[in-house]
Order: sequence, then C-alpha cells, then structure tokens
Amino acid sequence: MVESLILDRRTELAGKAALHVILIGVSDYAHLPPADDMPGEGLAALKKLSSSSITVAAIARKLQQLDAEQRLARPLGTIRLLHSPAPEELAKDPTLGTIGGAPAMRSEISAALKAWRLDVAAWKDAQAFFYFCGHGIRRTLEESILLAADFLDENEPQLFNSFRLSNIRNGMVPSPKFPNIGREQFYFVDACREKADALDTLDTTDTPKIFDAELGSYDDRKAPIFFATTTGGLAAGPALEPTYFGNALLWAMDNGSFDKRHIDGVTGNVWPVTPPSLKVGIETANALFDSRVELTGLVGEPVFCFRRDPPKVSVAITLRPDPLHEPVQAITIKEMNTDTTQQIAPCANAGPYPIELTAGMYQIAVTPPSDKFARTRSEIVYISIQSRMPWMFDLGSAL
Amino acid sequence: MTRHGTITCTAPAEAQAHGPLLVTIRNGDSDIVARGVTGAPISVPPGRYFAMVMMPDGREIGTHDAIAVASGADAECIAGVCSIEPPQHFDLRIAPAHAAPIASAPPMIGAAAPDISDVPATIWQGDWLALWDGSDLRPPPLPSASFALSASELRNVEGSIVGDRLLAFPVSTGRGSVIRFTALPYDLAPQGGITTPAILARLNLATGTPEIDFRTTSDEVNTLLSIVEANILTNMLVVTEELMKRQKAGISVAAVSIFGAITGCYILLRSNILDGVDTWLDQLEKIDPGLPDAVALRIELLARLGHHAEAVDLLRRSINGRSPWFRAGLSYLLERLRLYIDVTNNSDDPFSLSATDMELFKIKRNRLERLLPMMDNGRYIATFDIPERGAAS
Repeated sequence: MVESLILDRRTELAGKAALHVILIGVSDYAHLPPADDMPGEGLAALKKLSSSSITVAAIARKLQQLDAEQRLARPLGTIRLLHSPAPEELAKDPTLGTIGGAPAMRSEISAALKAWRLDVAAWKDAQAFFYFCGHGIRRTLEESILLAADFLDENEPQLFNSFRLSNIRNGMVPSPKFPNIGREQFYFVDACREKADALDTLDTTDTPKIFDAELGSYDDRKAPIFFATTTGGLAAGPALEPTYFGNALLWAMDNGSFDKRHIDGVTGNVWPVTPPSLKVGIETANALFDSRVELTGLVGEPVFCFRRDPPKVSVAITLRPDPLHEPVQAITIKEMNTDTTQQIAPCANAGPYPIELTAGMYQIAVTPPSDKFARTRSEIVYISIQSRMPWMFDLGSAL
Repeated sequence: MTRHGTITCTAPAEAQAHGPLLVTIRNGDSDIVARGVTGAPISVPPGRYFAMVMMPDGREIGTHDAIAVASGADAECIAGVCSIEPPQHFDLRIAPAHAAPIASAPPMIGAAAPDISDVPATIWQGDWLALWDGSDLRPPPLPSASFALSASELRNVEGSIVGDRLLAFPVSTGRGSVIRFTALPYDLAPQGGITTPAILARLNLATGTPEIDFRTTSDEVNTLLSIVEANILTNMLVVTEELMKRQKAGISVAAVSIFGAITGCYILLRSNILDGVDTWLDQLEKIDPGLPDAVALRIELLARLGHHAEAVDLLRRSINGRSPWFRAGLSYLLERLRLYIDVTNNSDDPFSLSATDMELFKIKRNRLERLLPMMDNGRYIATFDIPERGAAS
C-alpha cells in the first residue's frame, strides 16, 4: 500500500480532538475511454475525467489554509489523499505529482478509509471530513455507488472496484466497537448521480464492502451529506479546473455563514460555517447550484469552520412602486453598527441596483425625502447570504 | 446587580396569523444576543438591540429603530413587515369542496372557473409500491375523472385512510413528458372537530414545473410548512420546538394537526434531535393507527436509539403497509431495509428473521430501489415523475 497521508499531526495533537480528512479524486479511470472517444457499451459509456484531482488538491490546500488561520472548529489532524490525476491535469499543475497521497484504486481507498475511521474513532469530539470527486452512479436518496480508478477491471465483476456511500456512513456509526467515534462527520459527494441503464442489466448492484455494517448503539451523530447534484443529475466542471461544486465549496468554506455568535472553544464571537449555511454558501457562490445541491443525512448544525469578520454579500436593491412616482436622487444605505453610509445615485427608475455589502444590519433611505412617497426610510433589515434578493423597499404613495 | 430586561417582539397585524416566528436579538456589532419567538418575552441584559423577525420565506426584517432595554424593563416592538402579504386562512369546515370522488366527478369540480393557472389532476388510489415489481415502469392507468388544481387558491381535497392516494397530473420537464404523482397526505384535527381526512392543496408554479403545496387549517402548522418549503433549518427547528413546548404543556399538535405533528417529527429526526419524537408518535398512533409516516418514523427512531431488534420487528410487521407521504420516510425505509438485509446476510441471524421475512424485505427493498430514482428530491412530500405511456422509460 502507498501511504495516503499527506498531513499527519497526530503526535502534535495527541489528547486533542482533531479534524480527520479523507479526499478521493478520480480523473484517470484506467478502464474507461478518454473524454473525446466514442462512448463504450454499458457502464463503459462513462469516460475519463479531467478535474477531480485538481479539485481534491484545492480542497486539501484550503483546509490547510483554514487551519493555519485557526479557523477550523477542530485543528487539522490528518489529511489522506487518494487521487488519480489525468495526464493533462499533471501537465497543468505539476504539484499534483509531488503532493503525495496514494492512487485512488479501490484497495488503496479501502485501506485509507479504515485508517481514517480509526483516527476519527479515537475521540468523541473529533470531526470527520469525507470528499469524493469522480464518477458516481445509481440514484437513490442517500446513496451513491462511488467508482474507484480501477473500476471496470475486466478481471473482476463490473461493480467490484467501487463502494457505497451508505457502507461508509454505516461504518462510521457509534458502535460497541467504536464507542468514541467522532460524532460530527461531514460527507461531500461531487459526482454524478445518474443511474446508468446498464445497472438494470446486472444481477446485483451490491458492491464489495469496505466496512462491516455496524449496528450502533445510540446514533447521536451530526452527519450531513452534501450531494453536488440532485438525484439523477450530472455534476460537472470545466476541464483542468476545480469542479463547479468544488469551487463553490472553496468559496463557501470562506464565506458561508449566516450569523455572528459564540461557538465553543473559540474566544470572541465569530461567523460560524454550519451545514445549512454551507449549502446556502455553495448555492450563492455559483448560480448553477441554485436548489441543486442536496443536503441530507443527519444534518444538525455542527460548526465546521468560521471567519472572524463578516462575509461579503452581493445585494440587489429594488424600489417600489414601479414605475416610481418620481425619480429619487439617491438611495442611501446605512450600516447600523458603524452608522457608515453608501449611496447609489442617481436612481431614475425602480432598479435593481447592485451593491456589495458585508453581512449585517442595514437601513435604506431615499434622499431627498419626497412628499410623493409615503415612506422614505425602510425598516432595518439583516443582510446575509441567506437573504432573499432583491431587497425591495416599497416607498408607497402619498398621492 | 443589574437585572435583565426583556424584549417582546410582535409581528404586525398582517403577519400575526403566521403563528410564532423566530426572533433574533442582535447587538450593535451584529452579535446574536438571544433568540426567541414573536409574542414571547426574550430576556436580555440592559442595552441597545436590534430585533429581527424571520419570515417563513427567510427574510429577516426588523424595526425602524434600535431598541433600548433598561434593567428589569420590558421593551415591546413591532417588526416593520407591513409589506408582507398576509397568509390566507382557510377552514376545512367552510371551504367549498373541490374534492374529486374517484369515479363520478365531472372534469372540473366546484364553482371556481378554471383559469390559466389551473391544472387538471386525477387521484390515483391503490398499492403504490406493488406497482414496481415488474419491468413496466410506466405510470399506472389513471381514472378518467379529474378536477382542477389551482395556483390562485387552496382547494380542499378529500383524503382517505385506506390505500395509497396520489395526485397525478401531466407535466413537461427537461426529461420529456411525464406524469407527476404526488403523495396525497391528509390532516385530522380532532381537537378542532375535524375527523374527516382532508388536506388543502395549491399549485406552486414558481419553478416552472407545477408542484403541489399542502396546507392545513392551522396557521402555525402552515407557517411551519412554508418554512419547510423554503428549507431554512434553523427556523424549522425553532417553530418545531415551539410546537413541542405546547405539547409538553398538555396541548398536543397532533390534536391540532396530525400533518403538522408528522412534519415536526421529520424536522427533529433530520437534525437528529430525538427527545420528544416518541411522545408525538404515541399520540399520532392513537389518533390514526394506520398513519403510514408514523411507522417509518418509529422504525427510524428505534434504529437511531439502537433498538434494532424492535425496529426490525416493526419493519417486518409493516412490510405490506402503506407508503409514507414524506420523501424522507421512503428514504428511511430503504436505508434500514438495506442495512438489516446486509446484517442478516453476514451474521448469525441477529434478528431471528425467517427466510420468508427476508424474502419480503428484499422484495420491498427492490420496489423502493426501482421507484426512488423517479423521485423529485426537491420536494419534501414524495413526488415522482414517471414517463408517460409511449415515452421512453
């Protein structure tokens, strides 16, 4: 076995709950045709990919950056990287060849997952992070069959070199064997969830197991699953760049927070990133994901990471009535904490008027006041990435 | 010693029928100081605050000015949500009947004239899961009688405690023409004297593809349903916990709306908050022992608590039962079936399942595996898009 660990701080963090990460990125499927070839028959209709390895490497770097900035809810204990980059990915980013990790073959993935589970199982307050980027098939609600780089090896049954997400999640349940397994587990599946028709021709869609099904005791986990696409959908990305989902996740880990509040173990109030806010962050980062990211599993609100300053929010302001009774000279947006203001001028029509704000409390006023409108000052509104846009201010009518 | 004061935030008259809504109290630095709900005092240290009410659609709207709270004093405020459209209040007892008797109804039911936003729908009734045993994955034949679903008003649709019932209507999607089947839940409100199963339904055309929003006669429950549709977990939990408090005070939401109680149970399980689910399920099972989602919820609850033998036994006894209304209920059943089949196959008969039981488990698993790929995961109520006859399957 090749060592999949690319970061190991277990000794340094001994006695502390840590974050343990496993990243699997499969581009170079050994037994699938290149992207520009004619599709093969059955499951061989799938083709090689060209952004999975770049994506998981970018996630690894982001996690290390967050850790260096002390913005993770738990210090980063380990990163296991299993990736099979496409030659063109290596050409684009030669560091993929030196970053370390193991090839994303099924046997390597299996060994790494077992070692990852042992690390997570050492501490009840530990966190687990699982990210798969590659081909996934079969579409039921909380389930995907995830395909390793040696999928469709002709010497093996067709689904031999694959594994089920549910097998991993069920193997991570608190159980008599692993009573102290970390209760906060984050799963990300950046893969298509289209059901290959060829699956209907197989006598079974069972895959070899990585973990024995553990019948837990009390399953008190917070274990959200993020799917890059809803059931039946296609995940995608530009060639030789992080996938759309991966890119959006990178942004959301920085900016995906609703509120400023206290979280355990951190001095001062911060802007926490939780599964619901992460989902909204992903959807905010890329309009492609509006309502397409699926957040399921045992969701809860475990804090994954945080930022100390408010995130930026793209805001669109519209006025009503439309058309306006008369143009307004300016819209003034006041930030209630510092009383600082920004102006948009002139405003000949109802908008929308785009502006970038930091999350917080704001109030709009139109200047100068006009006796043609019933209101010239809005109620105070809390603006965050969760806010529905546009922000509409109804001036009413005094006519 | 400085005593805390309180802030009581009221939604304006137009929005009060929403029931309790999440109120977040922030200080000038945007720090969250406290959370509560509209109409209830929220304790805060003396200071200057901003109170924000989260509307069911996710907007957080506050007052026109900051609120000053003195030691021991109660400050009252009204959030400035005067532009919010008031929720419609409907009463099952007086709503005009637009329900469709299965066999004999004329194509358009009721006095309301069809408009551009009306969609003709049919109620399919039978054993939904049993359809997915064969190789034919086309939609089942539909009865000819239909009625109009409206986007402009809620319509009262009769429910039934026998068999699965689904609303069926044709739609065009990116994947071609399909028949959309939406599980048809029903509500009972014994405390309000409503013991005939029924539900209010309205078309939602916001996404371009017709979908169904369901409502009840309880404004509080309707608020919860709106929040679920907007998929705002924090808000869902706050409102659910308010309903739970009432239950603990002796007023069961199950007696107000069984549909509301089921929704609350799913919200709690989604966050893996198990405390109180058991009591709600007990009450639901007393009111309607055949409630399909109560079974799925109970199985999942038992499994989460580690009571797997009891979960398996209930699964075995309910194997031919009705289909849950909620997408999550179907998912729970499938995942538990898979798990228990796997465990039974690989260990020494931990659940004493007979060969016949195992065969039935596998049949049910296979049915669900064939059905669920056709499910629309954007809807919390089970909704399936099945290609029309003649279209590619």
